[in-house]
Amino acid sequence: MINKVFYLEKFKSFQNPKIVWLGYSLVAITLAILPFIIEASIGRTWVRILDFALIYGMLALGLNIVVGFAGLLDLGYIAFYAVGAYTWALLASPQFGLHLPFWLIIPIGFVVAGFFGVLLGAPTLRLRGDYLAIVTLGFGEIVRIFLNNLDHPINITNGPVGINLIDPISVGGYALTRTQQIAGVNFSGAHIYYYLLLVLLLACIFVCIRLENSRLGRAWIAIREDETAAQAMGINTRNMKLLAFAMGASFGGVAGGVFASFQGFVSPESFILLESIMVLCMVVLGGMGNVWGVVLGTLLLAILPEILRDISSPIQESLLGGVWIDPESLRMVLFGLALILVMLVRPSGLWPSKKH
Amino acid sequence: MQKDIVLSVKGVTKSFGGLKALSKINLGIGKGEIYGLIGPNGAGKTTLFNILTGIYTPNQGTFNLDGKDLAGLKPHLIVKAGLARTFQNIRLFGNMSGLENVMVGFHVRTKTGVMGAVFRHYRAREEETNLRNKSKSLMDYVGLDPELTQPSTTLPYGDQRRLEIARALATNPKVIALDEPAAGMNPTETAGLRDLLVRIRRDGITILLIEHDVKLVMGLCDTVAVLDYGKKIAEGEPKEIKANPDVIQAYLGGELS
Repeated sequence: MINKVFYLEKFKSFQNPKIVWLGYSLVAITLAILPFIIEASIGRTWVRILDFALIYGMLALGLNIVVGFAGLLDLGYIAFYAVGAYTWALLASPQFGLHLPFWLIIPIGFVVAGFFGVLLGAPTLRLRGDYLAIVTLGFGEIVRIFLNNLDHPINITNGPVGINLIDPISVGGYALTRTQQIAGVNFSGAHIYYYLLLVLLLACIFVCIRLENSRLGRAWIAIREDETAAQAMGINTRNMKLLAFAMGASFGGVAGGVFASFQGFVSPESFILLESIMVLCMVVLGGMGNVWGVVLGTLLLAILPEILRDISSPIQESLLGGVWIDPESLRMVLFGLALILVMLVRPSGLWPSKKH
Repeated sequence: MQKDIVLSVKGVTKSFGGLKALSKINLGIGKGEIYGLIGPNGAGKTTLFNILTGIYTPNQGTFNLDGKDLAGLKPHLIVKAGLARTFQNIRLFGNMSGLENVMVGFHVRTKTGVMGAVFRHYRAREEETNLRNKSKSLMDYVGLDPELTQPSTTLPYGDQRRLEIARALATNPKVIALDEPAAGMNPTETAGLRDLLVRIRRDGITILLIEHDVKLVMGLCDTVAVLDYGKKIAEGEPKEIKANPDVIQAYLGGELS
């Protein structure tokens, strides 16, 4: 009872517009100065880690449309990330001598990845559950193997060597990967990309929330809950599934493009099965179907392993008097342990979708 | 008296391997009536339902709704043409609330696409408000509280049946096909269901009803057809059916009360 009253009080404060705006501005300010704090306290590499967390966030949100909303288990999602990255790499690098501007490549990547989403989604329409997972896993690998081998007879992707010297995003002749001085403050490339990725991620969150609470989101969730009943309610399940694949893939495509421009280099190695599994873990651990849960899951899984890597050596030294276990392997062991623990304690994710 | 036929089934035949589940079924369902379809277990009632709603394709024969041929169409196109259904074993969208279930039913009569969903332009907002209000009044219509937010599978059994009917009504059907809506209901719930069906008929929607509860069917339906081993053995007013010796022999196995 006390709990209930407490919650009601809490919701009342949520309804007060002044408090809501205060909350929003606090979050905005925190997000804006976060890279400064991180750079000053724990170093520039952590801003990069944060950037990758934001890229993973876009991927996880895209996969969440397919897995969380429409209930289609896709184990080859990283393929669309690869398609986006290579689209950027081919259109803005010395590979073909093309150097298109970013505002042209981002929409192209969006469309090309979406097209691949439909292309790879179409043959799987009749499959459900495990079978769908097996086929999508296969498709993911096929894309990677294609990228690995398309260096002959005509050299398109440069094969396992990958594509180098990819153009960064540049605005008015200023490359965003270089350190820039704005109003007397130095912004590193990672720092500038942080803002760019943050804007993209917020846009993804916005689109996801809008989609979820719409006619389309309801149709996806209906398909997830009971496909036969969804058909019997007049939902064109084929089109809705293809739309889910396309939307999810295009998020991946944009993320991949920005990744390519940020790294300046892509190779098939970045798009292995483990990456697909990693993104899926972010979705499942955070809470399938809940946008904020997915964001939380991403932040944890993208940042926690890095922290573990950093602190495992000092801890071992202080406790055992020397580094006994390689930090890299220990990181994966702890990571696996954390996943098992979460699945035991909170089987529907850390922040489950409200309908569960 | 010549009926104004809304749903007409002509020579529908369906076999599963060697088993002939339905052979040459002809039915004429009149506009605005409650049409009962009865028969012992395995007579082919649900098979016929699945054909009418597009889950199966008939081997032979056809059926049309208001003159539009529907045989072999995909389920969603049949719903669009105006034939909606409920399921024998309730199939709600479990994790959605009652209201959301009904809102899904409006999918086929609404248009909002990706752009509308993301940017919520005027037309999309208007459509959304509109369908939310309509869904709420449909919940009221079947006697459910639209404000309930719990997952629909946690609703009481009778309410789940009503919710399925509301969801089917949301598709704005000409004919609504109910597969054993009274199954598992207690007498009070059955009486409530009966009132609801009468109201639906009064509002001009034709009802095709599969039901085991003979008392309900005989008291409610305008026309009754009897299936046995995949064949139609009788069709007529409840009075005639009750007196039909074939029906008594095949289905009821003796005198009717």
